[in-house]
Amino acid sequence: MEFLKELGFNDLVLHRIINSNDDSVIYNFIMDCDNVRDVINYFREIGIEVIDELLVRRLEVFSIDISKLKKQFDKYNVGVLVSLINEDISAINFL
Amino acid sequence: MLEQQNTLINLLKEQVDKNQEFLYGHDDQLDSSVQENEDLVNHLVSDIKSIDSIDFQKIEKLIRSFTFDDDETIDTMINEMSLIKEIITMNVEENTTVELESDELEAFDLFLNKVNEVINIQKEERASLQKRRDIVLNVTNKYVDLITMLTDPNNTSIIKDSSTLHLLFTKRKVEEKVKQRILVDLMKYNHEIFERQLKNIGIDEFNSSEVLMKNDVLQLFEKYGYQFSLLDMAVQNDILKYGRLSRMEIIFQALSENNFSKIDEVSKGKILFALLVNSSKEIIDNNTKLALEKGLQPDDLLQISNSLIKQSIYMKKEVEMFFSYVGSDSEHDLGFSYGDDNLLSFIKGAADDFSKNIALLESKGLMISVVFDKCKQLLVLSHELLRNNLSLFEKYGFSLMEKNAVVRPALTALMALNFADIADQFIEIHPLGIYYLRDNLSNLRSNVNPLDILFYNIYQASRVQVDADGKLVAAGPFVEVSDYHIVKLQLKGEITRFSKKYKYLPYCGITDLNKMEVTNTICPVFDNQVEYDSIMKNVVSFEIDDSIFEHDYIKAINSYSDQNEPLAYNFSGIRISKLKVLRVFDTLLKNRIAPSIDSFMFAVTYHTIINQEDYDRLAMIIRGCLQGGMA
Repeated sequence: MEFLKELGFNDLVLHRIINSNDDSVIYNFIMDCDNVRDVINYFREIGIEVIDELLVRRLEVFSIDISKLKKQFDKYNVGVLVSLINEDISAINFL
Repeated sequence: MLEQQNTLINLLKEQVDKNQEFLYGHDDQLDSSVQENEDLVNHLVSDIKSIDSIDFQKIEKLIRSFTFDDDETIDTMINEMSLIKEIITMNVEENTTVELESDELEAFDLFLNKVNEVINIQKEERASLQKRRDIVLNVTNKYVDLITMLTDPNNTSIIKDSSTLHLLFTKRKVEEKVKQRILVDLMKYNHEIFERQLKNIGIDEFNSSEVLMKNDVLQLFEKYGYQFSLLDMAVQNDILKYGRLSRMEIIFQALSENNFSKIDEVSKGKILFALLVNSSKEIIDNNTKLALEKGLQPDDLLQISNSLIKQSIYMKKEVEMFFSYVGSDSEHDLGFSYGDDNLLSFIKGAADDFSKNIALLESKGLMISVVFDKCKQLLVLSHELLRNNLSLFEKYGFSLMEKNAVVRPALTALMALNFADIADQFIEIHPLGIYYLRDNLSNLRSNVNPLDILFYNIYQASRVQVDADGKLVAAGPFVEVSDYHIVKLQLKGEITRFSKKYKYLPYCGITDLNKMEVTNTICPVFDNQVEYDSIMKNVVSFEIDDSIFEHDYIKAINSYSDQNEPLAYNFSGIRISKLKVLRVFDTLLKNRIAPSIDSFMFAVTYHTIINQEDYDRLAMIIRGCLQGGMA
């Protein structure tokens, strides 16, 4: 998962990801690293501040196809949804 | 077995023995002393006459441990207590009615206060010992894990816990030369495991019989419409090293025959590599056919590409990572990596899981195309984990459906690594916890540690607090939010995460390091804690035997079932998850632990966040139940 380091995530986050996820989920996450990069960049763009926590606790979200994910966000007031996610990552379930 | 393997096993065993001495020794002594003093105070408070039956030497010894400014006060108190005992003994034995004077009663009260002071000091000592004990217990478990791996001839896991090894070397004061010899042998050991993994999947030939010529590989790729040169250089090298022409040709053919689109060499090169090295025609044919029957397209499988891969293998990276530890004084765990951008270090096969998971999910009435759409990772999740989680899902009464549709959070919950512990914690931590969980099932997956800060935050927010004016206020961790006219519970923002809105400050100052101190909670200690923890750590199945419901201990606490929540006991306001008690106690009994107050209290308070006062109250109620039930 070295590509995450290039995106600014530290070893601690990587360790937490490994300890919090099934091997299969991690494997497919790595295999899908291009989409993961796009999702992380999109999340940063719209103001999500809890990307670390989402990576550790909801890794599968980063494997949602980026164009699908953007469409899902667009169904809501993005600012409000982002603010809810920043308060409680469970709000990602609105998608 | 390698030469130094025995040396390492012996070092580990010696340290485990030493740690166990520490874990058992102190606690017994301190615990019995606290208990003895508490019993003494309880007896004397409930009936002063009980002093008649107490050995005065015990009282004198206790008084001599009190802190006074001068020795004279100690002597005075001994004399006063001696006089009190004499008067009461005389009253009891000779039926006299001599009453204690007010100064004697004052002396008696002072004695009780001083005993309570001693008890409090002893409890603080115990808490401090307990903290140290937790650390020792944790590391002891890691030593035991290493012993288990090293003594198992069928072990297939690479030894990667370098930080624990480093600690062991320091504790046992291992000489540098010996340490180096052990580490070199461990490298060999890891190499053997690595070779065994390769052999198991039939690609050991790369070492001996076949050296791939780049031109042959280029031509093979071209034949099937691929450009080898577009692959990442590290992937190219790995294909040349691990690939076999005949196997690769079969895979290319199978992908083509099953109508897979061309896999992009640049962005999906690693997927292509993993398939070429570790798939088979049989798997591609069978799992693609299965997928088509369930409404999925062949290319869908490339999103969960390990559905087409046989077994898991570690590629060379882990072994090399371990090598880098040799000679290093770093306490960092350098032992494991899941891969990087250039090199694939770990291939996780899930072909079997895929077919078994489809059968299991269909047996629960789920449509596979819907599962793929909402949570495709479920299809390649470890089958055992999915089976366990589905079983627990039913036991805890959760629903996969909402308004007759399968909901993503419910499917997400099935990916939980620690389902039962997290569900139990939500049940126990707050009366609304289980309702919050039902509204937010994905929490089962997003929380792994039942002792995460989040739960201490909820615990703290549930306490009644005093505001600046000294007024009592109930903080409460939850708020109600409306989602399409359905009211759901959410946790307050300040409780869940550090967010900008709350200036990134931890809730009530709670951090991982101080969570127990700030919340004033304890981690109860048990006589056989090492065994209990070891059993719970290694438990793989959560099946609860029906016979446990008929166990005397379980029947004895039945009357404490919560009237409003069938999943909980309610011991005078202390909520305990019923399924937790059943699961943990049943697991202990299955592992030949004798039923006792110690083992039962371990089951009752397993991962419960509790303060000393509540724990004492709970222990008293449970003791009462068991003694009453057993009588």
